[in-house]
Amino acid sequence: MENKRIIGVFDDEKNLFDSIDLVQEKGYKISDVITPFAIEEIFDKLKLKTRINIAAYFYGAIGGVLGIYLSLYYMAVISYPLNIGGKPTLSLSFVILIFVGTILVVVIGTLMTFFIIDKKGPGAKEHFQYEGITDDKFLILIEMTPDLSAEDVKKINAIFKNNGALKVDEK
Amino acid sequence: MYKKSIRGILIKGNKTYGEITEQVLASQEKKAPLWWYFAMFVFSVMFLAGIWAIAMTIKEGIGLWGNNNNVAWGWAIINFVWWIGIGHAGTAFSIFLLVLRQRWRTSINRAAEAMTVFAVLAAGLFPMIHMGRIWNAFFIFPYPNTRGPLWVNFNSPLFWDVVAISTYLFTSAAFWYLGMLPDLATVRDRSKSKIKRKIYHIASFGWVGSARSWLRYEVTAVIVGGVAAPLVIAVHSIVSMDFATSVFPGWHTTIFPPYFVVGAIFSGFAMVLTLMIVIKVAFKLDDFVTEGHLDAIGRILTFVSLIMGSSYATEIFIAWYSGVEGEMFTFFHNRITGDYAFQFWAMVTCNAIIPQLFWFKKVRRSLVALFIISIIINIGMWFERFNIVVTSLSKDFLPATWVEYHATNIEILTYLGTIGLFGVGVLFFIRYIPMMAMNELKMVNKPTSTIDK
Repeated sequence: MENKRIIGVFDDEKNLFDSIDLVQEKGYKISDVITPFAIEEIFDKLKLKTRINIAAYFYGAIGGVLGIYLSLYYMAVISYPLNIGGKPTLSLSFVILIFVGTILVVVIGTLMTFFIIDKKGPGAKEHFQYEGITDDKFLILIEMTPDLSAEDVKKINAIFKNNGALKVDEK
Repeated sequence: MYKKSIRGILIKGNKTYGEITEQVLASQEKKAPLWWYFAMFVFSVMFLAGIWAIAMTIKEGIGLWGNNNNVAWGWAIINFVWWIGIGHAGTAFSIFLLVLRQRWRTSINRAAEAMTVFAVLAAGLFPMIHMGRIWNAFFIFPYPNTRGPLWVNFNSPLFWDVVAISTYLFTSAAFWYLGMLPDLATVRDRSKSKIKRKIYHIASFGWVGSARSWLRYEVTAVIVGGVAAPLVIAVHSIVSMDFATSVFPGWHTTIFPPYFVVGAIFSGFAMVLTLMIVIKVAFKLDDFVTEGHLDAIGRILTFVSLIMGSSYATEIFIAWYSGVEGEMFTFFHNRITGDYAFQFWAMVTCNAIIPQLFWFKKVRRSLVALFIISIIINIGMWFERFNIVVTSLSKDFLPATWVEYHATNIEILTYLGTIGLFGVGVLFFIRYIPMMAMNELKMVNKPTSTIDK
């Protein structure tokens, strides 16, 4: 079974930032922060990183340029070389198709990567639900692992309360 | 936190996050107003008429159109280019302004992207029915086949068009939907009826909004947006090459790619303006679409209109400067004067002269003036495509084959049908999808629009 979590509910980013800082200073591990919109400061504070951009680069470089170029080469030069007024079969104008094709490969690849690593898809289950998270509430979640004593929980509660949390909850 | 910036306040009314959600979704949580049903009826009738016209075309053949040996590209291609142009604004708007970090895009991008998707759908229809045998339309895709295998001509701009436009349709639809996920989740969490909740649960892909998801989401959006920006330019450049790689006077000019791209952005921005004014007035979203937003679009249109004007002038100058008789004839005796003078001057007036009224702040701040001029621009852009397509084809190098071109009722109905398709799409959009990117509005709210209490 999953551990329960302590939830600090806020309605203001400033209080949220202060609480994150204090909780981290005390050495507790924040398992997640849930916000209704993207906030870059939180990525920095939680030291979150993603490698989607690197993946996208490789989709473009390998799949796009090489994949599209080679398939064009196969179709237009090897499989059925069309003689159009004696012009070269491997035409410079393929650059245009490689350009557009690369974009298509990057877009499809990046989106697939995002949906797969983030476990999103039509009908995917929400991994967490709480009143108002997609509206105007900011949540800090701290997992109650067995090594978190009752005293620790109290301390975390106090930090949240002192920093303007609307409510501290357990779920 | 609020400091006065050049754009002024983006969201009026010192709103809290809850109020933003509330007000953007207000119109969708109520019953649809009467005008919505009325508009839906009108557009559906147009759409059905279009379907009938297309069915007739498929049944009887292209002979039902006014096309003839010389003017092989009539209204079908005019409308195709027109719709593609309109379809450019959405992504251009949303992505260029994203890349340029313009925060005022937030209240407009969703509607602009929706418009793009429907406009590109409408555009894609025309080349398909123009092929004549629509059931063989899949021949244009390169796939291993039993005819050789015979591949398509990879040097043809017409094939580049197929690739570019299908890529563009996919990319802009994906970008639109990606941006929508968090907002669909908001609708899901707010809905009280079980069925509605279920539908939006499926549509929102299980979005919750944890920090890790947001980071991945932001990176994905910037990458998709970033690669779509050059795509926008590529697509319309390729459309222009359909014309520019031919040898017809008035078509084979090197100015075409930039000229088409700018024209596309021009007509698209005008359509965004039309749509935003409708949304602003119909749903009383004045706080989100402020005069500042419309003013900014007006300024862009002034600038783009100047580029259009100079493009027209350049074309004419080069026709004279080249000394080629065919070019001289097309521009001076078949456009500026002659049979198609009306269309030429309509184009110049609508695109290059009337938008100059936007130099006046009073015009940029008047809803009525903005609305009328935005529609005039779209009419002008239609005439521009008419000019390009018909004038060059109707009178080419051999005077013995000169013909006139008149659209038939079937063509007119097909065109009305695509307007119906667009209208129906937009109406469904404003009814069932959050029409402003709420999560992005919330993002810009504090830094630009609220005053610390």
